[in-house]
Amino acid sequence: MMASSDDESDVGPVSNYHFVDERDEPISFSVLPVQWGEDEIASGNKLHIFLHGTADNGLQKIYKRVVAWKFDLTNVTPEVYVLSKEKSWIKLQKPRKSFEEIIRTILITVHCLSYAKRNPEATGKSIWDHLSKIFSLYEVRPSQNDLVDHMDFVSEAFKRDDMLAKSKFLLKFLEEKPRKRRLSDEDLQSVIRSGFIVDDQDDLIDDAGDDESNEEEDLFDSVCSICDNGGSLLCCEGRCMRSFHATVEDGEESRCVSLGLTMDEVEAIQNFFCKNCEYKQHQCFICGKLGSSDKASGAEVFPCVSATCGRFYHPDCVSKWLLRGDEVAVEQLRKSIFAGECFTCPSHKCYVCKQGENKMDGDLQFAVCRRCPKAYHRKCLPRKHEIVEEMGTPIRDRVIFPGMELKKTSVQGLKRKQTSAIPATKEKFVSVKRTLNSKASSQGKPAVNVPKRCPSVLEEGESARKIEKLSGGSDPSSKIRSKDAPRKTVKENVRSVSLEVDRSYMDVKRTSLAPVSEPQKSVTVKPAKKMLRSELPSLDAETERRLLSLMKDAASEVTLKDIQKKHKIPSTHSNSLKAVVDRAISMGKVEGSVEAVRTALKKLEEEGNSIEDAKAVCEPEVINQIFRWKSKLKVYLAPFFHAARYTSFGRHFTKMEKLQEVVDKLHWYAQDGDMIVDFCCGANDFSCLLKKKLEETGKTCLYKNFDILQAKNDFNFEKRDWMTVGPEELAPGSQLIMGLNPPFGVRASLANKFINKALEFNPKLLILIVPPETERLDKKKTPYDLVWEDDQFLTGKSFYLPGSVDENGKQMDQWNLIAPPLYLWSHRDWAAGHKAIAEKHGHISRQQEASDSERNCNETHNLDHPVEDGHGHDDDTSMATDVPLQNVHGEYVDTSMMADLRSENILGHTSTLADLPQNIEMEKPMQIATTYERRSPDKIIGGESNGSDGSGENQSKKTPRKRKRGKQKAGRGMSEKSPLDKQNVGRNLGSEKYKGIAQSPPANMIDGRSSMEGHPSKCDKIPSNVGCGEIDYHHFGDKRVPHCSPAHVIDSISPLEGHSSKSIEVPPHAGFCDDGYQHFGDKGMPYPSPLNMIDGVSSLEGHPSKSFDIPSHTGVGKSYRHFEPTNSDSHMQFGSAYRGNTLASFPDDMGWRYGMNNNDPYSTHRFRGCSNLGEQFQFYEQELVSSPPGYGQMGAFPSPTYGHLGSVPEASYRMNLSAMDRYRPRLDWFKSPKHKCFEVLEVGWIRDSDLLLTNSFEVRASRI
Amino acid sequence: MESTTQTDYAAFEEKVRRTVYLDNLSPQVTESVLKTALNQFGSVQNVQFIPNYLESRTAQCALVEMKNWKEAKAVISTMGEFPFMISGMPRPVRARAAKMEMFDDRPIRPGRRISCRWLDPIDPDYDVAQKLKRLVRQHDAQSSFLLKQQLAQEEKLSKNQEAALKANNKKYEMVEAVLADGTAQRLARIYDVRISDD
Repeated sequence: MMASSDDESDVGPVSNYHFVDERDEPISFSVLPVQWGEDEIASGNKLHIFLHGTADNGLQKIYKRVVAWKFDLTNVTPEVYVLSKEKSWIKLQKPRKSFEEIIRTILITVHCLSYAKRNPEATGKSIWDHLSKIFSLYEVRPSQNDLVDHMDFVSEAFKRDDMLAKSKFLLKFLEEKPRKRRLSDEDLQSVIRSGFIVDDQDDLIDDAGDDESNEEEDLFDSVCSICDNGGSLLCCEGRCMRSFHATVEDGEESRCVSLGLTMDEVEAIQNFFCKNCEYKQHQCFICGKLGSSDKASGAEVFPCVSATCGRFYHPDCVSKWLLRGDEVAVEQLRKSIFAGECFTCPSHKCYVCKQGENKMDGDLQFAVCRRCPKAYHRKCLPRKHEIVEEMGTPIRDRVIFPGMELKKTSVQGLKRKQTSAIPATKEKFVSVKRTLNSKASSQGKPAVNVPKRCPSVLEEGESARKIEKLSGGSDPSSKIRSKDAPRKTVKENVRSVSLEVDRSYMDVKRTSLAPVSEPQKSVTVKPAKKMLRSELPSLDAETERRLLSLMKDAASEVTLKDIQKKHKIPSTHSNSLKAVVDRAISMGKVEGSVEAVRTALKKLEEEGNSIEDAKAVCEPEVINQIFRWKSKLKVYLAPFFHAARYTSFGRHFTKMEKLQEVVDKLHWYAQDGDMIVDFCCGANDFSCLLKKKLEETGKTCLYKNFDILQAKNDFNFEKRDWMTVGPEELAPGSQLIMGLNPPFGVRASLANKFINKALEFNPKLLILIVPPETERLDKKKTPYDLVWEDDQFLTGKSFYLPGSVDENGKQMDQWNLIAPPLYLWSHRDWAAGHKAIAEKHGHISRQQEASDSERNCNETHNLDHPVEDGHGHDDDTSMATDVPLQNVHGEYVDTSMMADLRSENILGHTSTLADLPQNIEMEKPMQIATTYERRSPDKIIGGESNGSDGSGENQSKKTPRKRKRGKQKAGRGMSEKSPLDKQNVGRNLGSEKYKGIAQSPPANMIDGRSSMEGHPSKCDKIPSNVGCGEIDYHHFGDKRVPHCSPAHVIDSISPLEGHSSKSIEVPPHAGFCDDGYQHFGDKGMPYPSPLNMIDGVSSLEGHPSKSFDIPSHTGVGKSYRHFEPTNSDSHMQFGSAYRGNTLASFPDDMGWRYGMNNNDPYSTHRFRGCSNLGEQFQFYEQELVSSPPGYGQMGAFPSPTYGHLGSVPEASYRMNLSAMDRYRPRLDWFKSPKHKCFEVLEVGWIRDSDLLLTNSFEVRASRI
Repeated sequence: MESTTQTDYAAFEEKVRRTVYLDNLSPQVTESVLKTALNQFGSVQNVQFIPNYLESRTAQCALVEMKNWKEAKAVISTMGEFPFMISGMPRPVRARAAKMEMFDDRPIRPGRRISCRWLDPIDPDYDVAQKLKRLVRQHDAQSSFLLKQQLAQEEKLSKNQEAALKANNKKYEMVEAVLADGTAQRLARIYDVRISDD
């Protein structure tokens, strides 16, 4: 062999190394025998282990078989060598990153020995601290668990090395002999925790609860109104927006009197209203007197309008305060407040300088007094309010609840407690006590003690007093506390959620228990003695009492704990928005904020006040808060808005046809003996299909399928939470093929979780259907190589909702606005092989190469593809079959060209194909199936043609005419286009065009594209509308975007959708369509408000049409790949809504977009029927009309048009993206959901568990 | 003859084992809805609603026959673990193993014969029969009392929940209203605040 001994000695230290066994499976060198001394000969080595790595600073690649290893502890840093088969020692340096996990235990062990040798006195803690510094990059901190794996090795080293033998740590370790089992469990858990649970919390709680409560608490008052401390607080739902310590325990830290409730009482509270809000009796924040705040019955005190304030004032007090001295103005203000005019209280302007707050600037932050309506800039801050030393706050006699007999006991109780708790400080405590007493005594008639709190008094004594609580945080300790508060609350929330859950379970259980167990009991117990006497079946009081007590007993037997134990929520669904929605977003806050926003705007726009004033009413952050609330509420309420889809537990599965296609591609990569793991198998079809396919091709594989819900098909199914599957349960990574359609979660958080878990197994291949925002696997710690990805594959109705039916009793379809791409990722070790396979079977070219998907590839590259696709695909059998379908008519040449191109798309997607025949049957001329989204060039055009000759002809005749008309009127470039189109015959032309394209500057691309899109419309008159729409859209995209609000873009699209569908469905509307079309063309400019547009849209969609599969694609597909609902008449909503809502997610992009769809169906109801057409058209007229420049452009670049087929994709894709990004939010302004909601509400039967349902399952987005 | 009844009965027993009894179904649930819903977990063979002639309760119940007892078990355990909504009714469906008595078409147990006769008040069995009769009535009264209590509880609970839901919906509407008329957006624009609405 070429490995001479000279070479051997030359092998320097090897880095970036890893070891593999004969099956290429990564393996730790620790399985090799250790060579303890020079003279000893390694024995018993049967393993074939090879070292991979680089030597000589990466210049030399090493691949050697190794037979033994040794370590050298003489230096500070221990050294590890392996013995090559040729008997030379090779020093190991840095392992390959992905290999770290595998050899971490042995490396840690060696380092541990090294340290122990040099520090025989070292304790466990110092050793682990030391090691965690060395291995700081490791995810899991080194611990004893790492040693346990190498117990024998350690004890051997301990025996052989005298120095080591002195190590106390090792001695102890070896004596204890920690059991490996237990430790490895722990280890596992810690891995899981660090990898997943924490992630989970980061992702979800962060998204859901944490940031919510944090921000919210920051924005609103986040400390107890009684004691001014944070912690576990109960928020009042009412307008006062205050929080309180509910129980004495909660307020223990600050010795808060609290509300004096018990834990049980707190739990029983549905919506907490403080006594003030309950009785609508609030204190004036200036004079402290209680007064009625009930506007209906003559209010005495009025709330400050500021969004986050929640304080009430007597008009008298506040006017005097605001306008000191000016009697006339005071009187005026007083009257206006009485008349219901809004006012902002003095706390929102600095008491000294009368300026507003600027949170960004430290000096201009406010310190707001919690005792009187004063606020100061930090810089203006004086001191006042004497601090009661025991409490660290000013006197806590501020809060007065109306009608508070109950409180007395609790206050006294607390007083007792306080005295006993701090006997040492009794003397000083007197003052506190006195205040408490006064409070207690005053409770009967709260007004009594008030006068002494009169602000003017305080005012005078200012210098001597202190402000106790500064929101700006001048007092560090209090700041810390208030920081703590939100955190605690979050925890609290989480806990309360789980309680919530259980309670609901309990309810369920209780009800189910009762009839079973209780009657039985009563039967056995009572009848024995009483039976004969009671002739009448009516029950006496005694019996009733017994029965009731039996019921109570039965109910009390069921404890929360039991139920908690029984219903373990899958790790993926442990978060719920319930707490946030129910508690954190309190009614009072919402009311206050909403009112404040309105008032602020009014002040600005009508009264011409300064921004400063407006900000005092409504801080900018409040606006953001409102948006966040909305998304949270929306997610939370989704199951009520869209109840029909929740039969599936919020899941959705990939359709069989799609799976079959995945299988057809994937089976090439599988090898004999591989293990296929579907980690979220849903109906479990994937494995079955793959098994069938692989058996046909003579490969035998193992299968494992996991899901948390029972699968329909129990083939190798295990009902397990994927997160609990351990590494030893599956085949080694070299034989693992994993993946498919995990739940997505909010911002793909669940998808990431599933993938991270899968990566623990180091599978050689991962096949994934995950949303684009999922973290890419080449960015992971152990990077994977992308073999191919296909973002078109799952466009359209690729999913269905298991268990949910539409009104016709058919399975509900599901689709995504943005289709999740299908990815195949390969472990780096096998990537080359997999890529070769992909190459060989044309997966890559069809997929447009990974690079395309990266969106950076250059244009020429793109250009090539379409051509290639257009022709090359005939070879592909699957494609070939479909081609005939498309080229139907000579007239359609132009279309046909596109059809060819498109054929791949269609071919690529059986489902689309499947739809075609349907359309034909419907006698509808042609449907335009457009995948307008061109992310990848090969899918370029979706224009559809087809149909019977007759109809085809009609159309073709009509179309040109129509087009012309439209164009003439519009006076825009479109007309130029049609001639062009005529020329386009067949593919050759097409390809010529492509060349042309190459020359066209990218700037044109977008226009070109739009014209392209216009194309399909030609072949069909209906589509022509679509085409127009598209064009409009593009204009927006191009020109408008800069100055128009995003909403418009989106909206403009949707009308299109409506159009196409309508016309398709109701042929007579052809004329109509024309009109509509012209409108598009002519009317141009007026920019409708987004709202209108949306309405318009939805109404369109509302038209019940059954034929839609394809046409709907047309409209929508383009920008969003969202396909319009077909069966609009049903109450149920359509797919897209689904994910977003299900996802428990809020702000998630998808969610928003989906939201839009959801709503459509409802509006549908409103607008159903032709009678509405007129209306709708009006909408169009207003809306559709687009900006003229667009047309002009189109004309200008006629030739490039086709070219765009090729080149556009990139550009347009980007454009789409950005459009989407920008415009996303707007989609939600619908009124419609309400309707649905009410429906649901009226039906009743709403229970906690439903809320639970929502929250625990909404996350579960998709499965196979 | 004997053997056919035997096999019939055995077949029936088998059928009972693979049947799930579903309670708390919303009145809107139809056979096809139910079928699809449960088809997630197996394959539904037959759906039979149990009519309730006596009282008009909002919930209905049904017997759903699965392919085998394993599937039936899976359905029961799944519904026990997770609240399950059918047809948009936000009310969790309850599932239990079916019992023979739930089938109105059940065959006679082999070997069991029921015969009826009149009893004279002087007959020694008369008292026994009377006792039984009363007992049954008593039980009936008791169980209907329990049922009433239970329904009242449910009612209360559902009212609470409905109130909570309505409150949340109201919040949503308020928030939405202020966004829908563009107030919030306009204000944000004036403030020059970027709306973090996603």
